[in-house]
Amino acid sequence: MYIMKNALRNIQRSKGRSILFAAIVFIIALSACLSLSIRAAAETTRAQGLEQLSITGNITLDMDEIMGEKNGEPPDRNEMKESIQDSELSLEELQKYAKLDSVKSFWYTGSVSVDASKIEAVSTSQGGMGGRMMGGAMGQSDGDFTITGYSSDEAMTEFADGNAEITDGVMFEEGTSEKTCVISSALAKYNDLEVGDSIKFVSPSDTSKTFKVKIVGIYSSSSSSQGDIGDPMGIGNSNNIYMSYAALSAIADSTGLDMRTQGTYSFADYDAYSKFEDQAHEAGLDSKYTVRSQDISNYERQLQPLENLSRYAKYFLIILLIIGGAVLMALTMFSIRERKYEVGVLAAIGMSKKKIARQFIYEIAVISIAAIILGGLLGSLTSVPVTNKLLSASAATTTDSFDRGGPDGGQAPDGGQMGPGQDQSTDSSTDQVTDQSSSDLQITQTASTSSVDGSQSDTANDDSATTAKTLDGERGGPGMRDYVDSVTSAANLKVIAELVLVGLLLIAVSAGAALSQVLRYDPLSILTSRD
Amino acid sequence: MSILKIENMSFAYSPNTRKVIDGLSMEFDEGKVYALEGRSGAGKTTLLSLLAALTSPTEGTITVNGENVFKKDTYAYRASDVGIVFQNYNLLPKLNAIENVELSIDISGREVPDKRRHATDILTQLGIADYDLERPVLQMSGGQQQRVAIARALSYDPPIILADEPTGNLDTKTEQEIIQIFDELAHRRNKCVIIVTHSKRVAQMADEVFSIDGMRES
Repeated sequence: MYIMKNALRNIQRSKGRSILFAAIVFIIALSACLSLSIRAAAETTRAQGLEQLSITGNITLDMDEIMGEKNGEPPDRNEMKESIQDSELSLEELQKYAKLDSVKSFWYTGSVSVDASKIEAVSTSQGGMGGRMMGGAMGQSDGDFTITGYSSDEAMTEFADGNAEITDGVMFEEGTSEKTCVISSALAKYNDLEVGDSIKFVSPSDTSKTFKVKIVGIYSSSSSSQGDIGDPMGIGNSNNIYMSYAALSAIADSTGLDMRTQGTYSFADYDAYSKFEDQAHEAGLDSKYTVRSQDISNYERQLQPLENLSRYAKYFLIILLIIGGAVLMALTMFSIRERKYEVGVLAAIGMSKKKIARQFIYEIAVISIAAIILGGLLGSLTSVPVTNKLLSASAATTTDSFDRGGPDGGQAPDGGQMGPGQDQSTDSSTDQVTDQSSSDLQITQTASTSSVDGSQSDTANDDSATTAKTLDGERGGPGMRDYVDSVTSAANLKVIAELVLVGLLLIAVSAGAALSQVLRYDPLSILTSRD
Repeated sequence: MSILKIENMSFAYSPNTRKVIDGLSMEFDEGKVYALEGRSGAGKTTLLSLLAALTSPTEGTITVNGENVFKKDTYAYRASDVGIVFQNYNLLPKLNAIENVELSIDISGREVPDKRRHATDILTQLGIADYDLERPVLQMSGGQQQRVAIARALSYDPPIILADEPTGNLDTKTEQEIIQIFDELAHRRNKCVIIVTHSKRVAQMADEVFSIDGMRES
């Protein structure tokens, strides 16, 4: 009891020393609290975001596997070519995996590239090249138009998300085999087409093969990619024609058009998505395929500044603890060295060295606890604004880095290459086919049919912990600007628990220094050397 | 029966150096003042350190009430069996007179109902004025500091008082007053007072004078 009383009195008696020690611990605690809060904010934001994200995924080729990057032995080019060429999964196979219990729903689309005999594609160049620009998949004969067939209304994410709407006429019937379609208002105006008119399409590879499709509706899309690279005039999806998958499939069968089919799986939550790949492989999916979600990729990209900040916060915390611990240890040792005479006198009048050390440890603990509480309180109160300030700076840096073609462009947030089929665009939800720049082969079974725009704006609006803001205004571009640049909560119980651990660690380091210093003192030597 | 006994004790600072104390035997009784004399470097202070268990003998034993001091907890021995008065007082400079005494009581573990009152009484009895009781000890004179050091040694009522040159830094008048205190402690309060000294006045007041070279005078 008297030891604690003496410790408290000593804190008061040596105000300068106590304040110096407390200030150092306070700074460490404050910095540690902020670092831990930033990490907690990143974790919370990610978890909450993923929880609220409506996740869709596609089976794509695992290029790392094909290129031998996983097992370290790259196959020769022919093997790789073979793997890629034989990669297309049939609709039946795609449907097989849709029956797995992790899958909530499944839809699929088909697309063909065609020319038309009497109408022209909306284009900036003479002769029309809109289809080439917008839709044509590598491996398919390029036509001016892309016709996409949908298995269900759910598959028409552009319409479901409100990014496109029928402005005249009606939508073709779900699952119909009738050759009915909807076209864009731009295409309708460009060619003076109306609801009820028919369009005669021609196979680009064999002009003798034609088919007619009746227009039942005209749509207007709000997600035109005006200003996009590759679409500077904002023609966007004007040359995309939509119809039922069943009808398009029948047309493809009768005309010999090369139709690409892609399947999209929808998942109830992130856990279900995580399980799907293993389940699919168990169900017979070849190891050269993997499962990717554009929704998750885009969301992770949104989190990139926060993740970067979290990573820096971790490094900062480690350095802080090393330097802070060393400073506290040195300060404690110097302080006790200064009090050597006190140690000698106390030991000479009968206070054991363990008790003396305990008194010093109490002093350290009392000062540290007070400083940690203050630092933790201030850290908790300021964690949100400080995190947001740093996050804004981090987001701006990331944007800047992207604008300059920095390392972020074209890479997934985890540093891995974007896989085939992972279109960077958030606006290309109807652009069902992607390609590989170095190959003339289609290397994906799927495309980005994600409801990124919808789901991410949901995240921004509904998520209590995060907001995503388009830093680059309306320009949008390839969708790289939608970063999470603010959080509404940072410090939590876990942070407090971690801060307590940090505090205990600091106290232990200082206490260890005090103990070792006191135990090696000999009272007689101290007192005689003073004499 | 002697309260404190030295039997055939030797001490050297290290195994290869000559013995500062060689085969010394002594006995100390309660109610007496003992003066330990000797030339400088003869080992007087070393002997007192041994008696205070601040260091241990190379050979031989020191017993208190028949119990080997070095088989006991030496801290507890210093905290309750002996009171030590140092030549340089060795008070805690950031504490005032009362706090120095109170701390000593705390360390001894002795149950005292009102420590502050007890400390004040002892200090007052030793001639510390009321207005000096809460002054930082470093602002006190040498004589006052020595009185505080004696008060500290007496605060837990140990049977043995060890004093190392307690009047060495004091003027004649103060020396006389301190000698008077030790005299009273031995002869009125039945303490065993052992004083290392060069002072003839202290030696004259002592009941027994030891020369640590083995000569014994009375």
